[in-house]
Amino acid sequence: MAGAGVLLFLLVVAFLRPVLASRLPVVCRYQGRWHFPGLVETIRTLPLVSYVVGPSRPLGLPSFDVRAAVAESSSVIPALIPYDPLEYSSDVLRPASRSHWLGTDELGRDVAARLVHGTAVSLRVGFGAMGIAAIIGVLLGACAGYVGGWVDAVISRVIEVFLCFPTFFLVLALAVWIEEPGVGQVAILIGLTGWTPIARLTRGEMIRLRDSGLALASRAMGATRRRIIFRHLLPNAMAPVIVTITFGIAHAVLVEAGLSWLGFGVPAPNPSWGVMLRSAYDHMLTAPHLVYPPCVALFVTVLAYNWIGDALRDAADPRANPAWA
Amino acid sequence: MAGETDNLLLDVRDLRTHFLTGAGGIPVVDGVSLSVRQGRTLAIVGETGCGKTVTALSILRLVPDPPGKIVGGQVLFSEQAGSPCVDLATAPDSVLRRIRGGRIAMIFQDPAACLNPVFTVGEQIAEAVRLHRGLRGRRAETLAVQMLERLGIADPGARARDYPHRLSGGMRQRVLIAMALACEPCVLIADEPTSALDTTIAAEIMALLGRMQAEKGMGILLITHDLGVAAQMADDVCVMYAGRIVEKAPAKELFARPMHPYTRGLLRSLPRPGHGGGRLAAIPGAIGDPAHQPPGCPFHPRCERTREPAALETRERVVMQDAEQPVTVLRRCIEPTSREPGGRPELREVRTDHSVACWEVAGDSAGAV
Repeated sequence: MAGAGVLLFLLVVAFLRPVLASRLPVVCRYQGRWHFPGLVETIRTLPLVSYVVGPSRPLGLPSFDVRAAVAESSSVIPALIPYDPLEYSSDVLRPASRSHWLGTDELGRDVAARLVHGTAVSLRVGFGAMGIAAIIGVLLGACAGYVGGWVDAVISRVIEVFLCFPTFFLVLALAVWIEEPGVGQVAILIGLTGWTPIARLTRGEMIRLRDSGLALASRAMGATRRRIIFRHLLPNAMAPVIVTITFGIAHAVLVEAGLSWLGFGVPAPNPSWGVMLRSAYDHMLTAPHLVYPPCVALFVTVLAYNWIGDALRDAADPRANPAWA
Repeated sequence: MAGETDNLLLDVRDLRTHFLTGAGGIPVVDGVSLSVRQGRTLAIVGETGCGKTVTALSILRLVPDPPGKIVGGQVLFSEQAGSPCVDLATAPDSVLRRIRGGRIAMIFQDPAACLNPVFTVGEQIAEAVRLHRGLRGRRAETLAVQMLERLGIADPGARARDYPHRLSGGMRQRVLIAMALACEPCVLIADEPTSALDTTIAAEIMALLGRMQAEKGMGILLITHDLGVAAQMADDVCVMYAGRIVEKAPAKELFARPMHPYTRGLLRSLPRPGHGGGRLAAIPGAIGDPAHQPPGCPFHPRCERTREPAALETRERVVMQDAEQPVTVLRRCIEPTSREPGGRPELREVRTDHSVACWEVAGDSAGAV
């Protein structure tokens, strides 16, 4: 439950980041008209909406200084943290204060704002990577497990080849080939290297189910092989697979932070937790306050996914429930 | 059996299914011939491991391959009496898939294992209907509820929305029967449909099957180890032993005049009213490993007839080293020389419609009990 609560909080923070941390005010009155730039931006940055609306367009709002506007007029509600994550200032390496809740980094950027926007990066990489890994892993694992024979042999060998390399170094090696890595590319990289445990587990489950009465009954019903695998058997194989995927998300978040820390992940100005850790590391002695926010955020996020994974595993395992024992 | 071919739906001829493991194939079904007729029930009885389930699975080519493989024989199926036959043993997969579930439906021993725990039973019946009868959406679901109602399930609308784990064993078996019958098959293969159920529910299910058969006129192939069920349901009975049919007769004839020593042993092992408190007669031993069958008649190590002292006194005998102890048996029961190819007793018609695979019985005058 705690894990789910943290995850929900992270999702809310990620979705509401234009309202929580942005130079754009949530509501403002400008030249006699009401504007809701923060809310519009929130909707625009929802997943998939940007594909419908098109790429980032100016909001029909001339650039203006929010703080100045706040000072001038009373009809402006600014964002909770009224800074953009990429907004430079001359206040560098300031510790936490009333105007910068978590201080500023070496370029004068507000750490709290970067942390909020980093949440979105972390979630996108986590879910994106595991989404890709789950699709590849479940498809290949299910085919290998059900079909067996040479299909199984080939897929199993591919899995073993992937498992020979430590995931992190495989990602690192592949990351070198990508010139301008974005969040999406990093997610794809992690997904392409992280599908093996899912495939192995799905394969095992499918082998178990292939010889069950369920498979026999489906065949006796005249179902095609594809239908038996994906409609009849796969839903029954998913419980342990979902647990693995949950743990995999935590792993993907860590790998992304590690990559970014080394400079191969999300490129520097973007507010990723790994990038923040990197710059904190560079100024650890002079500005130790920079270290804690991304560390705590990573720690809590990974812990939350692990809690969720544990809870799902317990829910899927009848023997773990003392009430039924 | 007599040559009435007019209402023949399923004609299995000399079916051989081997399990190909390691060195050579193990004959699990070894030359079985049987026929299922419209509106009639054929029961296959026999003890565990005699090959009855593999026979049933072979008909629809459902034996897991590997290791199972149909190495010979034909499974001729015609949708209606007189219409052209398809040989299911060699038909392409697409043809077979249309027949499976649609024309020949199958219900299995353990209804809990055959229902998908992640879908409601209504969805599962509806899926079968969509697959084979081309009904879409709501109409399939309506038909599913109607089927449940006809199978005597109370409040069928609500039950259709239940997941299998919420139903009792008897209800689950009804659901499976509903699923099988929803597509209006012409042959129903019921593989021990009541073994997982308690006796009263089993009787209800059997009565239900009988009623459905009377309604739809389908042929039933009933696989069971329960002679009582066979006697109650079947028109014809085949007794299987070690992958072969050893006796085949109309049910009344078989139970009134069992001829094969195995059949008689089975019947004697049944509890009977007035039997008193003594031990039931059992057939000693068990069906051996199909990979290592004894020479001659496969039943001879357990056969009492071949070991009857009276028989042994007057005729040529042989001492066999059995697994546990030496047994003395009639030479003619183990000597394959100058007998049928394969050295096994073949089915021989000894009375009208009554065939037995036993050299002793076939040699003697029929009915000498």
